[in-house]
This record gives sequence, structure tokens and C-alpha cells, in this order.
Amino acid sequence: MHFGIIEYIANQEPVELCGSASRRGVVLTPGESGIRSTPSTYQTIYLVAVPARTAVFDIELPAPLTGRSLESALRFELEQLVPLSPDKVTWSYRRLIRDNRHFRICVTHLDEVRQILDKLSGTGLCCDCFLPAQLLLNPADSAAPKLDSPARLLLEYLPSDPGGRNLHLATEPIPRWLRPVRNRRLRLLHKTLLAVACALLGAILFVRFQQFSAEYRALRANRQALDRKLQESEAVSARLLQTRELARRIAEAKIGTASVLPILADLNERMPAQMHLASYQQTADQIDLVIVSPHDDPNLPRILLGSKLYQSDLRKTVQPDSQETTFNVTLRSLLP
Amino acid sequence: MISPRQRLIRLFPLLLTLLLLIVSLWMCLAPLPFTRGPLLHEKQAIAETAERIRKNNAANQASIDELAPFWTMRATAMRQPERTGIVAFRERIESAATKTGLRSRTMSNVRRISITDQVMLLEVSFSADGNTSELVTFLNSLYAEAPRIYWRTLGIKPGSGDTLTLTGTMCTLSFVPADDAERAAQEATL
Repeated sequence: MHFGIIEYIANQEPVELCGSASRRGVVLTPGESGIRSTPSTYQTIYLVAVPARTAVFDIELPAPLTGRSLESALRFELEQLVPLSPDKVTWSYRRLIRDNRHFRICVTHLDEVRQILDKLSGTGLCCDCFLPAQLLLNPADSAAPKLDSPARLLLEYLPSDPGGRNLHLATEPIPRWLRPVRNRRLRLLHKTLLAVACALLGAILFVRFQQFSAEYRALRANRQALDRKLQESEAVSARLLQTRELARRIAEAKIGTASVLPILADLNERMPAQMHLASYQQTADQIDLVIVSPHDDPNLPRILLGSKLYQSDLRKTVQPDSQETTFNVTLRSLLP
Repeated sequence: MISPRQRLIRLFPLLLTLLLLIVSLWMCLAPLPFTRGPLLHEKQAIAETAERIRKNNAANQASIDELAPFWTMRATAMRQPERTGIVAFRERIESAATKTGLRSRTMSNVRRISITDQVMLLEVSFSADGNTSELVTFLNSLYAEAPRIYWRTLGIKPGSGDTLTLTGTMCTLSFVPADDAERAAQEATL
């Protein structure tokens, strides 16, 4: 793990150092402008300083706490200890023992941190977090580095807490513009691809939605036209139903059945020349005819049966005192 | 050194973007989500409506064909209000008889038989004499000219000499114009 350290001692220029931590230990080398030129090389860049107007408190909580409840409890303790408004200080804490009860709180006046950050801003350096050296101090060990060498304090501390998991920054004083920008090319690629993907997706969605909208509108128009046609068709059905009822009632009156002329014409055409019609009586569709012939004609039933205008029922009568044969014929008209 | 996990975390937004890109390309070919349902619904509705129209039209056409005799009757029926219709009916018969030379013997009063509010039947009993030619012309005139006159009963028998005697009951169908029918309905209501 590579990390960068910016050591700031009052009235001196900030010094950049590079470190690497492995299982074998922590190695610190001069930075040689590495943090300025390639900040993405370092996983974390620490700004270690010894700010003035800083207070350190070792606190023992009555019960082990973690997470938000821990931070709330420490904030409460801090408010009891420091007579300053919380927005005027920046504070961080460190777990001293793994029992989650013993903590060290380090509180610094915000103006002190701002001064340090102002100094840093002119140098082109950037950092991820601000660590007051007082937080890292281990007073129990007399051989441990002192406050005059904050970078060494951090180096001494890191092997015992490689990922800095026991260090917590309750407030974050580093402004965004002072933070390192890592993976520039990857970010550029990401942004370009994201823009392309968004533009492409937007364009495709727009075009597809336009297509869908046009198709949907066409279908709706088609459906509305068909609905109108259906209504018209149903209206026609209703009118036809009324007409059928009227036609049925007219048919019950039996007025259209006495179409005389077509039947007379048909009879005139079919009857042999020697026959003549003596009487024609029609009531509704029933027609009673009297046909007189000088002699019997056995073909007459066949002749009458051939018509499509009527159905016939033939009865033959021979008058005893006459040479004439009388045919009584009943027809049923098939004409409408 | 950057661990593989950290590298993956750094690459994660890029992977998401690539996924977005793939989705965009896939959208070129795939249908737009949530649009298939409304289109399908509309298409089904159109198919159902078209089928209903087809069936309805087929039924209507069958009815129209079946009512063909009625259309002929209506086309050749009288279209006059009731009062003037009665007079017109008598005049129509007398005119046909006069034109053909048929000698009218009797003609009863016109009887009115109501079928509906708008349709009625005017009926009259009639007898006349004439020769065969006159009779045929008369019958033809009643049938061929409008308004058409129908026979409810008809008898043709030999008369004196070479004449034939025609007796029967004639009728015609009369459609009252719509405004007259409405007036009649209002009067009936009052």
C-alpha cells in the first residue's frame, strides 16, 4: 500500500514524503514531488501537522459503543469538555483499546486548520485527510517520536493500524478543491463513455418512443374509425329491425299476394288454345279458376305444375249433359 | 500498489457505463419497454371491432336481401297524409278505369286500416264491366303505375255478351310523411 504524507510544521514549508506499508513494515522515502505530479499513485495522502489551539482528551465510555451512537456519545462528551460551538472546531478521535470504550479525542480550532490549509494551497499539494499529530501521540512510550516530527509519529502509528481503521475524522475540514484527483484518464474515459451512452440511449429512446407514439396514434385513429363504423352498422341494424317488424305486419295484412296479371299472363301462355278461362276468383293468395275445354286434356296438370308463380291443385268435372269438360283449379300464388 | 478489490471499485462506474452502453445498443433492436401492452391491446380491439362489423354487415345484408319485396312495396306505395291520401286513392282507381274504358259499377267508401303510426292500408270494394282487353289494361295499370294497387280479393266472371264482370277489394299501402305521423301521435296523446 502506497501512501503519501505531507508534513507541516509551523513556519516551515510543507514536506512531502512517500511511504509504503507491507507485512514487513513501513518504509518512508522523500516524496520528490510525487504527490504533486502523480497523486493517484497514493491510496491515501495524509496531512500531518501540529496545530495550535488543540486539545486532547482521553475518554472512557461507560459501555462499549460503535458507529453513530459512538460518535453521538463522543460529541456529547466533547460538548461538555470544550466551551466552543461545534461549528468552530474540527475534531477527530482514535480508538485506544479494542474494547470500544477507551478513546482519544482531539479537537482543534477551525481557524488553525484553515491556516494550515491556506499554506498548503499555494504549494500545489493535495491531501485526503488532516491528522493532528496530537492524536497520534503515544505519551506512554518515552522512546516514541515527539510532536516535532509529526511524520514519524504517523509512521510509528501505521504499523499498529495499517488501514487507519482506528482513526476517525468526525469533521472533514479538507475542502474539495484541495483533495487529490485520482485516475484522471479513467474518469475521462468514464465521463466520455457515460456521455456517449446517455446520448445514445436518449436518442434511441426518443426515436423508439416517436415510432411507438406514431404507431399508437395510427392504431387509435383506426380503432376510432372502426368504432364509428360499428356504430353506423348497429344503427343500420336497428333500422332494419324496425323495417323487418313493419314488413312482418304488412305481410300479415296479405296485400301483396294478389298479383293478378302475371298469373293471368302465365295461364294464357300455358293453356292449350281450345281451352278458355270461365271464372277467376282470388282471395289473398288462393286463386280458384274454372277452365272450360271441349274435350278432356290429360296434360293440363303437368302444364300447370311447371309454373314458378303458383302451385296448382286440379279437380276435373265432366258435365253429363254437355260435351264440355270443366276443370276446377285451385292455385296458391307464390308471388310476393 | 493497488489491490484488485480497489481496482474493481475504481472500475465499477466504468463497468456500469459500459452496461448502459450495451443496454443502449440493445434498445436499438429490442422493443421499447412497456409499449407492447398498449399496442397489443389496440390491435386486439381493432380485430374484435372489425370482426363485429363484418358480422353485423353480413347480417344487415341478409336482412336487406330478405326485405327485397318490402323495398319494392315501399317504393311503389303512396306517400300522402291520411286525408289527401284517401281522395288520391279513389282518384287513382277512377282515373285508371276511365283511361282503359272500363265501366265502373260500384265503389265503396275508402276504409282505413292502420298498420303503424306511419303506415296504413287504404281499402275499397270495386266492381266494373269491360271486355278482356280493357280488363287486362286496367289490371296492368293498377300494377305497373305508382302508387301500386293490390287486390285483396278478385273475381272475374262472364257478364252479358262478350263483357266480363270484375268484382273485388282493392287496397294500397300508404306511408304517411314523418311530420304528419308526429302530429297524429301528438293528437292521440292529447
